[in-house]
Amino acid sequence: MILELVCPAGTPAALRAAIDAGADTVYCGFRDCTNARNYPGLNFDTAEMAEGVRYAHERGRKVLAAVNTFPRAGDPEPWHRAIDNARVAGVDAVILADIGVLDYAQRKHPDLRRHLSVQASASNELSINWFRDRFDIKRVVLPRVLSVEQVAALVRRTGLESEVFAFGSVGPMSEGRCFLSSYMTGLSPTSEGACAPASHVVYKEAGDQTLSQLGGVTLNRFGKGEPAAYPTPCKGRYVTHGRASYLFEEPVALNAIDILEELRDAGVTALKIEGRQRSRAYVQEVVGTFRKALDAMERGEAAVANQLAAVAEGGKETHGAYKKGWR
Amino acid sequence: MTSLFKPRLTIGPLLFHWSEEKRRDFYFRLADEADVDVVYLGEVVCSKREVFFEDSIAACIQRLERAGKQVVRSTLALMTLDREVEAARALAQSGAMVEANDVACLQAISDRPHVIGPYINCFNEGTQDVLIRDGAVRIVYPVEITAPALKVLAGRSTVENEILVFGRQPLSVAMRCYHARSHGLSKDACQFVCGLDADGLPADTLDGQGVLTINGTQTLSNGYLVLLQDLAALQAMGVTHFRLSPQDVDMVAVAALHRAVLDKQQSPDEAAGRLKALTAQVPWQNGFLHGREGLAWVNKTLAPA
Amino acid sequence: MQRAAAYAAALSLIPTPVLAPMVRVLNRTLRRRHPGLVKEFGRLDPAVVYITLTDVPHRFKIAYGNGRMDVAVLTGTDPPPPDAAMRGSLATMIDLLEGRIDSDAMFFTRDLQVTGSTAVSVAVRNTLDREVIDLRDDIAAAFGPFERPVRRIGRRLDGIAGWARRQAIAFHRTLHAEDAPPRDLAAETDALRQEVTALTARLAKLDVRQQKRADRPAVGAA
Repeated sequence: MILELVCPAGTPAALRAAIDAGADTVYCGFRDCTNARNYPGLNFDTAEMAEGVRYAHERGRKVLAAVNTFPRAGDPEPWHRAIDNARVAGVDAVILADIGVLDYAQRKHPDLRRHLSVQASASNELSINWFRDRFDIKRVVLPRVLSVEQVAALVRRTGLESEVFAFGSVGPMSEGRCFLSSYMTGLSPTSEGACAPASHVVYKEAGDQTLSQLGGVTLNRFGKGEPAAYPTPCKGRYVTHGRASYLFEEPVALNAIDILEELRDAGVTALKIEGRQRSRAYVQEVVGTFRKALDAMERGEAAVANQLAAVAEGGKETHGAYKKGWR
Repeated sequence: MTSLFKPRLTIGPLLFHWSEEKRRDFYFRLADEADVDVVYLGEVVCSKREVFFEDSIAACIQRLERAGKQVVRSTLALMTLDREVEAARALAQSGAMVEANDVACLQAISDRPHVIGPYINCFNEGTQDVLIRDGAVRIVYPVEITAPALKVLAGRSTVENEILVFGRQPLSVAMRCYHARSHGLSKDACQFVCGLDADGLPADTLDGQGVLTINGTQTLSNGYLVLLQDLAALQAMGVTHFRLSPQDVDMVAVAALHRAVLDKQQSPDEAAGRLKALTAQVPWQNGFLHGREGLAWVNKTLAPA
Repeated sequence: MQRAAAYAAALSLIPTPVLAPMVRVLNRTLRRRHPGLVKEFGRLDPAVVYITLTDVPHRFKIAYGNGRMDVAVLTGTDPPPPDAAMRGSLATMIDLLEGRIDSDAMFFTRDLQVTGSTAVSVAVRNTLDREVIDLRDDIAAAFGPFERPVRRIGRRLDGIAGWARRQAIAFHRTLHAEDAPPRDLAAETDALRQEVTALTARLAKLDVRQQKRADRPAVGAA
């Protein structure tokens, strides 16, 4: 079985770059609060998404639309419109998280393929089966909290296609239910689509060091050139027992490139590269490297040397929850 | 629907890892002395802790029920292990009233009445409709809910509506144990260090500001959510159940103050003055409901619905 | 990015009054060659961003929003402060322009200093990333009829840059003073300076002509 390579596109140019670099599938979002990477200057309008779909389909590739935030009570329209527009743009599937949005999509566009977003935080057999039985989802994006063995068991028992994260940011919290960013900024990632919105991020010079703050809360202090991450609350340094540390997660990137065979043997359908907010160069580099590694694996050749550290967040890499010891 | 219901006071599940003895004493005292209507019981944060409560949970349930309180069994907020899923399935099938905190429970219990816990995202009408259709009889809205959203949801709800009104605000759950990490340990060999902090472990910023509280795999606010000033407005919106989350303070007294304000026996200001004495140095927060950052304290009462 | 260093050297030779019309030409080229990019900047919330190049004695201003986008040379009298400011070498700015720097990374790299509104800086980077830009092609295109002399300058710059790079490698390898430059760098730089001066003078004339044409009222206008 060939692993499908699912790649991020924050812009139409990144979509083309990902396809050209060998992505089987590209995922993207609309230019509003309906997707979880709602940063200024990023994302697609309906015409751009339709153009992206055309570009992909001409080359035999696919496009997925992420509509993976949670509507605010009294204002479901943007989310319903996003599903309708994804349909108009001709995407191959929508990636959804909210129970109400799933319900809408199923009723309104029953033949539009539905994937369950990682934001739905379905991390066990019963949860996945509930979404499968209620909303006829065809694929589940598994949270970044499972070991390879757990992934294998879920694939076996749910009978659904599964998509797992292969590269990018490590989210230590159960996704879609983390309120740390809104706790500090008042803007909710769940409904506004941006964790640590740039409008609330401040970098301050403090001597020869830089302070990063979110909503006035100091999250880190570092020297120029020291590896640091964009100040989301879970990538900050906190003081416990009088000692400062990266309490939740070090500035590292998940990189599963050297366990691709394990993931394939676990029955995984697709590998997901995280990073719609990253640059086109990142997309080219990571997608190209994974394409080569997957092709080499298919031909039964030796693994490709891993050279992705340069684009990894903080310049360091981890297998995350896939391997014991991370927890 | 304002005055049709007598407002119900509830005690949320104990989030911290208290010793078995401290836990039992807490629930016995609630049964004997606290004027509350519902008590949620069960481990929400970490399944490794469950074994410590196994021997006394039946006695606690019995005592609470005998005192006329509804007991609801809370489940884990994040399940990944087979035994965790099996335990949830067994509980769902035991006939107990269950608070589902992970969608997994819904798959096991959707044909029977149940409570939707605050760890299942019910932010909008579409989700509310599906959950009610699925058998929910009460929905506890997420801690992040704002007043305008709550007004819409509680106003149209055909079931009971509950929100947290006192205690540290649950902000995230994870697979990793941060309590263990803070001691240089891993989750698998954690030595139950979370038991050392009965009210959670403070995690401060680099410049020494209190901001978060660590409780095993869970992250909480450093301050206590306090909504005494807003209880009347919340009632008017259609909130029927008011949750107090157990902290290491005199919870019977905390309950009494909330009861008195809900029953209009005491002014919110007067009750707040007394609550301040009980909560000592812990800051108060109410930002989420007021549409602000959750850590903020907004010195304002919600406009009556 | 040796090429960028050479560009920086060339840019440094141009006085601000001459550079300003060049940038205006660049503005028009931008609209012609990258209408999508201009449109995208126009869609953003209005903001002003200053770009300071550490290896060139010029500062630039990008103003966008309300359907517009303009690049201008900053003179001493421009009123501060902008919504955001970026400071770095020309090479770094070209990396940014050509989509090689992440918004995550832009705040942490030693080579780039970003101050002011983070939202504005992130918006600028994300928007630049929407368009595939090759600065050399754009500069060449900007000068339309002067494309050939500009390309010649570009080649000369590339030559000097390549030579400089080789020198640097040689220097590291030997650290010997006897490895004197085999080329007359001073003469080459002089030639370059002459070409740039001639070109900028012609450009200034062109700009004045274009400006006059643009200022002429359209037929039938009130």
